[in-house]
Amino acid sequence: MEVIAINNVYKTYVESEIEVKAVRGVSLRFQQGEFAAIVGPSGSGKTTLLNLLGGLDTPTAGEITIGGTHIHQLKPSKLIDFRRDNIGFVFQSYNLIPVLTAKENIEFIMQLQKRAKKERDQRSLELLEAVGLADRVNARPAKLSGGQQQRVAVARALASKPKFILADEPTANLDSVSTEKLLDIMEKLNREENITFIFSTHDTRVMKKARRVITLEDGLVLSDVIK
Amino acid sequence: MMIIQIAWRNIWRNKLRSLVVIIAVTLGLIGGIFSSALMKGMSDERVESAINNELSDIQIHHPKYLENNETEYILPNVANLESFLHSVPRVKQFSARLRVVGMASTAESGVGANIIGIDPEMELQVTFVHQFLDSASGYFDEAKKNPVIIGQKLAEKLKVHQRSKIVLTFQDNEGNLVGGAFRVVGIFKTSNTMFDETNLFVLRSDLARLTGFSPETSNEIAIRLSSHKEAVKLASEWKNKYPELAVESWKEISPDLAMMTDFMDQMMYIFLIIILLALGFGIVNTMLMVVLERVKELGMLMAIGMNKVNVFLMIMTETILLSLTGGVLGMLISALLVNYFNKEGINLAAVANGMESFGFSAWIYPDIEPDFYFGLSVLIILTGIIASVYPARKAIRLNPADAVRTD
Repeated sequence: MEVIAINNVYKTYVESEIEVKAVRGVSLRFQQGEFAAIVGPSGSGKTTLLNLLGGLDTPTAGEITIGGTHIHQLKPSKLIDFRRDNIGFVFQSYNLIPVLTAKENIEFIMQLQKRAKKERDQRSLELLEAVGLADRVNARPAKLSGGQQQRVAVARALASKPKFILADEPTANLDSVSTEKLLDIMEKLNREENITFIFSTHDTRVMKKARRVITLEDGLVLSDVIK
Repeated sequence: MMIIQIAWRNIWRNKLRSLVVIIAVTLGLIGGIFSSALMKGMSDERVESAINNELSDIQIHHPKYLENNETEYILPNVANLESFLHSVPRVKQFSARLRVVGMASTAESGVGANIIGIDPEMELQVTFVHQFLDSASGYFDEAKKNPVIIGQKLAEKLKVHQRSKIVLTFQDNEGNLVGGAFRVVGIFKTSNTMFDETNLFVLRSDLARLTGFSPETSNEIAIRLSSHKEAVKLASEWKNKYPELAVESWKEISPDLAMMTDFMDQMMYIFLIIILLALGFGIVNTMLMVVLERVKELGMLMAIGMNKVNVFLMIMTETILLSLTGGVLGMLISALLVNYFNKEGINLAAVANGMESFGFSAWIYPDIEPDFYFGLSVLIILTGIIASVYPARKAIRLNPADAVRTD
């Protein structure tokens, strides 16, 4: 089943009075259950494409549909709700809420969705179990290692039951052991629960695990390889 | 609930910075509340002393008496009026007086004075002058002819002391100048020098005899109520009941005093609003720093689906909680201080002369109505809301895509 359709998308922005064409006519399709990596050198347009895909940025031209919804035609307030309910985000530097515990961080997005307390409790504990952190339920981010924080971030991204997860360089700040563990967890979730993951990455270990590798260069798709 | 929880925990992320704001709010409010309590204490003391010694709660006169204080305008049917006043439960006590304006003279000096003829027993619970008599004085308790009690300042002017003789001259009921020799049996000193300088008390029967009236004649009835607060309402009711009489509450008798108390209430709020305004700028500055420090986090919150209303509310709640923490501490400490000094009093003996010449006591008992704390809490919350608007607007204007990648 097709989850995401990117149709001839362009993104141009002005930086220090210089026009930068970050994405130049990209068209891609993602199916449910994909485990895809968008790779390319710095400045190739990976992050811009991910931001467009996550509804955090607006394309200059072209359109993106997620589950049939033209996301950039949504009103800003509706787009925020759409992001909350359909897209999970994992950021490079974890970006957990430092004053909340691991469990509360996961619950947070479900509170935004106004889910019942019982359901929030149950799901957050299940997700912590799934990412191997059942014993760190009440730890705040400062008490967790980088790898553990990123696993909590993955659990948080899954909490809202999104259509797919966007992970922007999720392993960039992790050591090899933590990277391996994180990738194993995400791969397992992908395989067993058919969750769609799309990464932007420089990391060869992520590229190796990915079943589809899209290479960008100068804002264009250079190659799109399905293993 | 989630927003309140995050906002509260966020306050303690940078303990030092939050404590600086909390202490600033606390100290600002202690200063503001205590100063206000002092002003109110002074004002209340002045009102209390004026009502106790000079005005009483309500006075009744012949309407024409008020125009020129002429002796001939006496109250009609005093006995009826007295029996009515006895029947009103809210009336604690009243005193029928005969009051004339005259001259008090000795061989060395002479000054104008209000000569107030009283029935000592009736007056005991209406004016508290008997409490301010010096130790050598009595309160009309010696069987002397024509006794008089005078203020200390007046005694100094006339150069008289206990048992001295003074001559009082005034008009009788036909407008003729009459006089009598009086013996000083008491000298009082209230907290109002002006009052002490212009008033003396004699027996109503003596004054009535000298002015040619019957002993029961009265041109002023001074009434004390169970509560000062009822004075205006009761005076208004009695005005309707006795349209032929001039019934005045203490606020009408002394409009300057009434204005001072009303003004003092407003001043307390104005004073605190100015303090809160100044503190508000400090809070805005702190919250701006908070927002700038948390750009990445705010970007993440908006990216994962926290809408702008919730982000705005989160910053606003944090600001309100920060202000309220200082506010509650400030109010608690102030309440303890005000309560302590309300019991113990503050003695401003060093400036007593100056204060007493304006009718203020040198002892101040700071006081604040409990309602004031409620009003102040609302003001603190308002300060928090207003102080949060600019930082919160900054927060919701962040672009989540840029914000999450901020270092």
